[in-house]
Amino acid sequence: MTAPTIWIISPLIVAVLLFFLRRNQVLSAIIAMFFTLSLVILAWQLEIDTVTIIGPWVIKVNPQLIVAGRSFVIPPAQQPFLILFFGMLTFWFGGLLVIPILPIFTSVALAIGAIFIAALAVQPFLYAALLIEIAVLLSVVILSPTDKPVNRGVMRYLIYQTLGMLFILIAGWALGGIEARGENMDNIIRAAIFLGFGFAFLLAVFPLHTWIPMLTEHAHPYIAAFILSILLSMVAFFSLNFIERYPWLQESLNIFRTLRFIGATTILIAGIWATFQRHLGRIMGFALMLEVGRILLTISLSQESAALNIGLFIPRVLSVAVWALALALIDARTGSLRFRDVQGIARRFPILGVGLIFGQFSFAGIPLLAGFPIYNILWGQLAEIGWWLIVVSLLGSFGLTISALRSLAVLVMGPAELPWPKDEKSSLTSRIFLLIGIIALFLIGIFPQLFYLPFLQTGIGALFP
Amino acid sequence: MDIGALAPFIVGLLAVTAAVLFISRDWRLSISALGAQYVGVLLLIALSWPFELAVIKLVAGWIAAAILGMSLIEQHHAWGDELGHHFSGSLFRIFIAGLMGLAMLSLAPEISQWAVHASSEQILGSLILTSFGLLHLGFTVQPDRIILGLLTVLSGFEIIYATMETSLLVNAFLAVINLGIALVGAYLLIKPTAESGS
Repeated sequence: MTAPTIWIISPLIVAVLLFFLRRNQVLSAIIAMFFTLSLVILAWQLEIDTVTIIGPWVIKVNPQLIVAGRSFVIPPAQQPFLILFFGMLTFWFGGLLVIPILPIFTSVALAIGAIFIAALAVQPFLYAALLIEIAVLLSVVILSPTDKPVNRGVMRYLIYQTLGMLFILIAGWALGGIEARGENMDNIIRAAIFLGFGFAFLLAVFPLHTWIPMLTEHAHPYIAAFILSILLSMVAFFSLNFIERYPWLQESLNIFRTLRFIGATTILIAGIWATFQRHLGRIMGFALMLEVGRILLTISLSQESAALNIGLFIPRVLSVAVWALALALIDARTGSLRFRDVQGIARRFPILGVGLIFGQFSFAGIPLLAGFPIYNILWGQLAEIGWWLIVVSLLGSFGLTISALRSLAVLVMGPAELPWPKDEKSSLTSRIFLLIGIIALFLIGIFPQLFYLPFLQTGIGALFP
Repeated sequence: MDIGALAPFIVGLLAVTAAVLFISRDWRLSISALGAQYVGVLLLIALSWPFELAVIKLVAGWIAAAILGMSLIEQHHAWGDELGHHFSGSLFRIFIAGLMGLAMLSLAPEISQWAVHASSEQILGSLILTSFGLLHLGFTVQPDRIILGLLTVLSGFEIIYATMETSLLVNAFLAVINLGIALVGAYLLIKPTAESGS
């Protein structure tokens, strides 16, 4: 038994089986929930590369699986992340119990989750670019359902991600050549340019960001949020691997300074643009773009970037899940997420409105919510580097907060005589799910030490003295 | 047979097929050009790889072309003829394609300084396909044409990348990606093509 078999191959097999259950969304969602939960338990209980005795069985999980001469390795240090990742997937699949969605979503989402872990595990790690592209191709199918016109944002997403993969592959070759033949400034600059273009395309850095708001405007909000949050996380970890693998890139070109500048610009643009949006889906798109900027700033910190990156993953996925669930439920009731179509919706469905606003506030880094503790650490670290970084980061969050307040104003706007929860018809299950999400946002925000405790091994614990 | 002796003609074939893909208004002609393009890709890759390994590229490419072709037989009304009935549109594209071809001719010697394992024909063929594919992507919003553009860019990339990387797994992944793009194209062809705004 190998770790990649458990956490990569078995989800892929279950994803294929779920494809045949696509007609029954609730059943496939329940199976996916229980399956991912069992993977969480396995990651918690089994010890990779150590003999584990469970009852009469003696199990040793080998960390490595070799396929066509290349290996997939899941070291024991990654176990806390596996718990976190599959736990998040369980939450996302839980949302499918309350929202009508594309039938094949469960199957494709589980496959994309497995590819994510494969991208982290593959050696040499450059092959992750190819796996990311395969995940992108799968995601196009769920982002563009057959009953809706082809959205230009999806096409741009496909083009940019494909071009990004090509640049990364060439950059990997160029970097390998530099290692083999020795450092030469021309070669280093060339490799850095390829690498820069590759990550600019993959991470949708300004000005290559246009597809994100287009996607979140036209695609199903729950699907778009899932794909974007997973993809951004995947590319973030991939970028970190690059920086760790080639430390001389930083020494030769001071690449962190460039990353800081690009990250800060992306945050500022996203914050400003978010302020002026009149579509709830597009606001979420700009919030995710803001997250891209945060990822770049995190990578540029060098010292704690790996721990901070995992730290950012937790509020990102949870906040966006709550936000997207609320958006999907609102969309199912109004058929549109434009401001003029959702006016007063929070008076009829208060919990949906609360979920949407708190998800947004958490993303903006408002205190007591899940995003704040980790953003606070990030801002603290940035302040040590330069005052302008903290000012720009806070301006981005301020823009998102303004957009959240505008959304709130629109959601509670309505005829004066309409009493508050008079027409609340959202199902009990959907309210329970949203409430669980909202409570989790507060719990992580108020007691970050307790929540991050299981992930001490990744170094996050050191960030919360 | 010495494929190296045929290399200049193969580059010519690639230039013609890429230009046809860029200019063509007929989907049958475009799919035929795509199929022919993969023959050129095979021959240029075979300069660096054993022929039996290079054939993977041809097989994957032809399957991709077949997938798109079969979808277009069913959904030929979905083909995006963006040039309309005016000759000026085609003429403009021919002019741009010519300019791009000249630019690539001048760029090829520069590339050969760092792509040391690639022959000049491989570099030129790769640059022509990549640049024409990018042109195609820049000129269209039609999903079917975008897929053709992506496949062309990927073909150009694969020629130069074959001189750098011979790993079986990487090439299996690239073949899967080629087929995946074609399948996504076939999937998008069965959908309404109207853009719902930006």
